[in-house]
Amino acid sequence: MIGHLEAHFFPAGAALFDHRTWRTHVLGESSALLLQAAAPMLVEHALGGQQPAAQAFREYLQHVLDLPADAPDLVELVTFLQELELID
Amino acid sequence: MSVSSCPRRRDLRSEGRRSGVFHALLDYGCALVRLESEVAGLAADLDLVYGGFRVPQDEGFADFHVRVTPGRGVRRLYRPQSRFFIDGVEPFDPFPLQNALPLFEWGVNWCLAQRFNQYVLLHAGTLARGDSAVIMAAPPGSGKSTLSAAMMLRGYRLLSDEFGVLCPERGELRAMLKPVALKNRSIEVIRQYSRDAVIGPVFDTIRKGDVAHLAPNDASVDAVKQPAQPALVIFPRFEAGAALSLRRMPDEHAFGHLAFNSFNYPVLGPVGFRAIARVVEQAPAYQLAYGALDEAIAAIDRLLDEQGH
Repeated sequence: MIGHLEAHFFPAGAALFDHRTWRTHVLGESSALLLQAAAPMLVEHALGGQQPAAQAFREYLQHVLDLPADAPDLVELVTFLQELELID
Repeated sequence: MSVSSCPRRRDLRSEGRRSGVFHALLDYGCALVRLESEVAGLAADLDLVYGGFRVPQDEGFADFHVRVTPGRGVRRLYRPQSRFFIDGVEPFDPFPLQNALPLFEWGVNWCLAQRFNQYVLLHAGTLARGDSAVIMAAPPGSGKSTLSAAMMLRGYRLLSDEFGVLCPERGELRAMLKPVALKNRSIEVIRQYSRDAVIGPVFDTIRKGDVAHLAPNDASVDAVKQPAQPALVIFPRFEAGAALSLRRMPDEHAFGHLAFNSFNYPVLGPVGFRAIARVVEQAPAYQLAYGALDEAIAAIDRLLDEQGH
């Protein structure tokens, strides 16, 4: 569980179930990889009842995966997670 | 009494018929349906397409109690109708009287799709080799029923044509064994494909064109209580004259197709999510384009062999 999100990671790609809305989301390979890498940070914040700021989330992934800040997949994932209210 | 010791319908032609009204108790594997009708033509049609079904001991319980009746009043004489009732409610418009069998089949499918939420109902046919299940998932018109019918006639066990009945607790597929609804050209294709094919009358329907029902074979009927584990997911597509093509489908796409086309995924929430994720983990998915039934079946055989099933 990542906050209210139940994630099932496949070898490439992922399926996510949002327990608040009962909506299901399907992620392609690159977005799933990013989410998997970010999962420890998101879980830690969720356990503390907090949401990380988008900036902190970006910086975390840039650090972990050595990504440029404007990587399209990262930008897309940030928007997606903001819509799901997992990050501010 | 075990299922296999119950008599088959075709051996009991006069089962339960008195004064124009007949009763039938049909065991689809994971559902029992009790039918009451006074439409004489329906009794004869059932004897043909449910001929191999065992007549279970009637212990009073059925999941669904349905009635198929002729129209009332002047409708008995002028453009006579058949009407479908579930628990005394008539959920949709009547069909012409001679189309009582398609009405019954469609009506029972509707009941299952509306109410059988103890299972995840995939929009898929299901067949099995041993206890390894092949899930045939595809939109209408893709040749799914035709290929399912052919697989049954080549030795696969038919579990279902329309519903992939997935048990969320055990992750296994159960039988919802009903006659295979063949449409338009596929009726003649299957008739020519095997002389073992028992096909009921051809009905001219407004919604689907010509429809005829292929009777499940005795081997499928006798194993109706035997579940199977997901081994393969196939998204078939018939293309006249096409060479066989087989392409692995990414897991997340297979998940999306199975979940979002399921009859009751939105109702089941996390239960459906976990059950379908488990299927995708367990059973690789392929897109199969085919122009010849036997080539498609040989390809499915090979896939099962390669995975040790």
